[in-house]
Amino acid sequence: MRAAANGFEQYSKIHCVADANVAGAVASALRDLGLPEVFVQRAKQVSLEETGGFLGLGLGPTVRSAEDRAELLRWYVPKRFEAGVMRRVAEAADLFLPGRGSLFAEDVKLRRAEALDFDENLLAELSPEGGARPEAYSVLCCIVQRGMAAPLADVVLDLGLCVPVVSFGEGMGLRNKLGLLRITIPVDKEVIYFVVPERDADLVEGLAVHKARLDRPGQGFIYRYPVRAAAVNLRVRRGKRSSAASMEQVIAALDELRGSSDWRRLAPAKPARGAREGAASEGGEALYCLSLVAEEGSVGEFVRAAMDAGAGGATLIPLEHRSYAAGKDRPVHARETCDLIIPERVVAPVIDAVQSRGLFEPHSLGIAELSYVAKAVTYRA
Amino acid sequence: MIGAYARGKLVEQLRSIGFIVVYLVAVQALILKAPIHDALGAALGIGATVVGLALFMEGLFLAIMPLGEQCGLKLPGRAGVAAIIAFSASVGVAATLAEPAIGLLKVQGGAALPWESPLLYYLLNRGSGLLVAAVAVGVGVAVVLGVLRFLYGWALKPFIFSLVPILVGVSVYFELSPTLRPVAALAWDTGGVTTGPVTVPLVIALGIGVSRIAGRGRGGATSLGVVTLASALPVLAVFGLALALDARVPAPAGAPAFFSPFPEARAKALFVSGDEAALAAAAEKAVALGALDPAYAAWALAPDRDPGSAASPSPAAVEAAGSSATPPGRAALVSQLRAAVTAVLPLALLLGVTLVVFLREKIRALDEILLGLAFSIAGLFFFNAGMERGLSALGSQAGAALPRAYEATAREDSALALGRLSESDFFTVVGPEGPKRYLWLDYGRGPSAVPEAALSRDAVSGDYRYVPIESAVFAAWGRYAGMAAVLAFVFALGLGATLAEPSLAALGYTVEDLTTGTYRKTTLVRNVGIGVGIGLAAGFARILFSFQLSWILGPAYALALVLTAFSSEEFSGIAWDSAGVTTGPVTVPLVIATGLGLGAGGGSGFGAVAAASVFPIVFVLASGLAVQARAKRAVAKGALV
Repeated sequence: MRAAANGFEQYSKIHCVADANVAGAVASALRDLGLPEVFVQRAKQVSLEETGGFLGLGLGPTVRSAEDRAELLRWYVPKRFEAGVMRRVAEAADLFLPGRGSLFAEDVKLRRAEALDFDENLLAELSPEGGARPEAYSVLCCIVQRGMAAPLADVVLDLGLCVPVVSFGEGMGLRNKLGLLRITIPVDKEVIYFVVPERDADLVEGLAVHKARLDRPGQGFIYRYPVRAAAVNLRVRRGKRSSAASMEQVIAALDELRGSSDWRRLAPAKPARGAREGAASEGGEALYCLSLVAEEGSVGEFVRAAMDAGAGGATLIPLEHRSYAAGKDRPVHARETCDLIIPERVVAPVIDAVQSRGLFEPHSLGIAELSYVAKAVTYRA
Repeated sequence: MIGAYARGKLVEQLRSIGFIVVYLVAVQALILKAPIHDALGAALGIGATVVGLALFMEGLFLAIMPLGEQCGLKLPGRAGVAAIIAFSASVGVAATLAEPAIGLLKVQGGAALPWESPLLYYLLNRGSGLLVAAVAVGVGVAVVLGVLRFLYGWALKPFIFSLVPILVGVSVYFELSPTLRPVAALAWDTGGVTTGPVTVPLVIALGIGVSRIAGRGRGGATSLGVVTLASALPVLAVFGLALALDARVPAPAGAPAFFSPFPEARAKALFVSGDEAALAAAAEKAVALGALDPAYAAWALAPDRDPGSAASPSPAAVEAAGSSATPPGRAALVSQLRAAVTAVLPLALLLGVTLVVFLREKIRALDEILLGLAFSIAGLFFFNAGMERGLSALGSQAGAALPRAYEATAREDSALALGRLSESDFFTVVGPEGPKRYLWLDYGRGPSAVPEAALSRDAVSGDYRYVPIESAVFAAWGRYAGMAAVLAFVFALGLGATLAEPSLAALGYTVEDLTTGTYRKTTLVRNVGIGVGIGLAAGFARILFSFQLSWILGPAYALALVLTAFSSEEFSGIAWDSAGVTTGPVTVPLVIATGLGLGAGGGSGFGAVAAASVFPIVFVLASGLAVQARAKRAVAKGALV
């Protein structure tokens, strides 16, 4: 990652998906750790609920989608503290229990307007043992038109693959090149995150491409990155249960025995016609995710600068900034973020472009985060 | 691209008003069997309403809400608390002054009589400026408190728990006083109608902006609540105004007491009427209505009366009387265009000037904002014009036909002028009560025998006339069944009108966004619609069965407070805000038309809007509690799976 040399520092980025009812416990743990910066994104976890049908008589549909409000919290810590922080948060919110949330981490490189100031004494007290599971996990991030997340989530849930996490955002890309005609293109997007074992990533990706028509122009795209998972919400189905183990648990056990989920594929997944596969490469080049975070209302300017320098479209997502370090709270909490998936050759020009637009000036509260993308798929004519 | 975009927006609005249109036509044509007058005009009006709603909603999302949110986002960081208070108060006052709905209350109370409810008459006529000022102060203070609440992280519940008991308590006190009683319902309705289609989205967006900046680790839905305060505080302000005026108006004691020439009574009557001329005009009206003996009127008013004044009422009286009338043709359209510009432009200018001049901030996507403002103005214009000729006209017709459900009605529209009749035209039938004379008549339903007693005869010309009497539609089931049918009609009317309310649609989109779609717009609108339907049915039951408004509001608000105590802060905000947005430009004219149809003029129809506001709170809170309970159970059960 050559661009990383220009003022970027290595961090571990921890993501926590917490059901709204356990978000308070997560916040409490983060406060205990005195973390100086946490970004919170509104989200929901989708699962299947067995209802017993109309009036419990078994009439009509007996299974329906259930959406539970959640918070998607993200924060950075020096890599040496990753395991301890994850363990502390997972235990505080009982994230090991199904249905409560997920916790995972990835490696990122950061460049920021202001340095992060940790209370290392507090973090050093944490045990470095028992952070992530040994199994390799991937997060697939899929951006689709508003309304497409539900059918996509249903397919993934039906197969018992994972609990999708859905968030709202606003699209930037083609829309911004149309002048006032842009109002005719819906700005609303849905961002779906799938946390799955690495062995299931191809299957989920294939389903997403097929169901969300990502092989057609303007329908969205999907990319994935490797993570280390400490807790993963596996409860895809809830409600009355009459058997000792749910079907999902049986499938999970079989996956475990067989070593992969290949045994339950009905047909080999084929890349759709017209789809672009950037399997960590575009013409042999590596792909990166450049995440920009800045004060609310200003990220659009940086994205436009990035797009002029060669980046593709992006989706703006509102964030809330929180600080749990004593005396570090800011009067302005609203932030925005967007992820730009770019090939390695444009990383440096894009970073130069956002820098010259003032991303790293103190008043912009800007952060540029660079991380590895394992694969990205979208339409290419 | 533009075609698909426009089609999508029009279809969405067509769906939202489809139910109420089909329902009104079906009830009138199929159940009440009343003809639909000017069907072409109504169809054109409905078309204009759909276009207007589509344009207005797009304008809200392109211009008004983004401007409000940008102001909310930038103010806390760039301005001091004093400047924020000044700005918020200005927004509240400007929003009220721009809000056309308050004029609807004047229409509803236009038939109020000064000797029956002097204070109500004063507030809706000569004192309407004071009424609007009180409401403006109420909304202004509400916006200030709402914004400060976000800045300092104050919860909404303490406001609800302190304001609502005060309002209900004062309302009960008002109902114990004959002078204040008629104003109680007006005050409650004022709170409902002042939060209109421009104000609501704007203050919601402003609140969202400020709360996003203030953060404090709470869920997004806590950024609601300003509408609640903007609904409650104007009620308090109107109560305050009424208390201040109480001593200056006479108690309602009939026309003779009102027009009494004794100095103290005369001073109070003059305060209510305005001047001698207006008082004389009122006396003439009282005489015409049979409430005042002409000789007494002549005696009572003689000492100070200008002989020509009774024939020519004062300009103020003319203006007051004319304010409720609809200007004809082009003048009406110009007036509606002016109202649309007044509703949108001053507020948009206030926000734009604040952003550019005081906050030194560039307005984001200025081209979109300008286009959105044009959409909003055009949309409001088409919407208002279309409502008047379409939905309101249909509602008025259906409302006027409603009494047919429970009482026999004289069909003046089918009256037959029979001219002179001879003895040979009649035939005699002998029955248990002796012989009776009948006449064969065909008034559109084939020949039928009409008793001579049912005919009217002009004493001068000797011409006969027959007005057919149509028995109640539900005559076979009795009067109460007819009334129950009316209440069922009103319930569905409330439900259908709510589906088309633009402010509620804006709140629904906002709530859906804030809750990431877990509480959908459709769910909110459905729950609110059911609440409005039940509230309207309760409000109209009060009109039909004549009981006090507190009998409805007291228990309903008590239940709402209990549910609030168990609800989360965010659902409390959603529920109480939805109460403020339910009674907007679709529901209020339909309610008024129905009320007038049921003979609830003169202010006795007030209270239906207030009742329609409280039940949505109960329903949304109940659904919120169910959602909360399910979510908590899901997490708790997670431990066992």
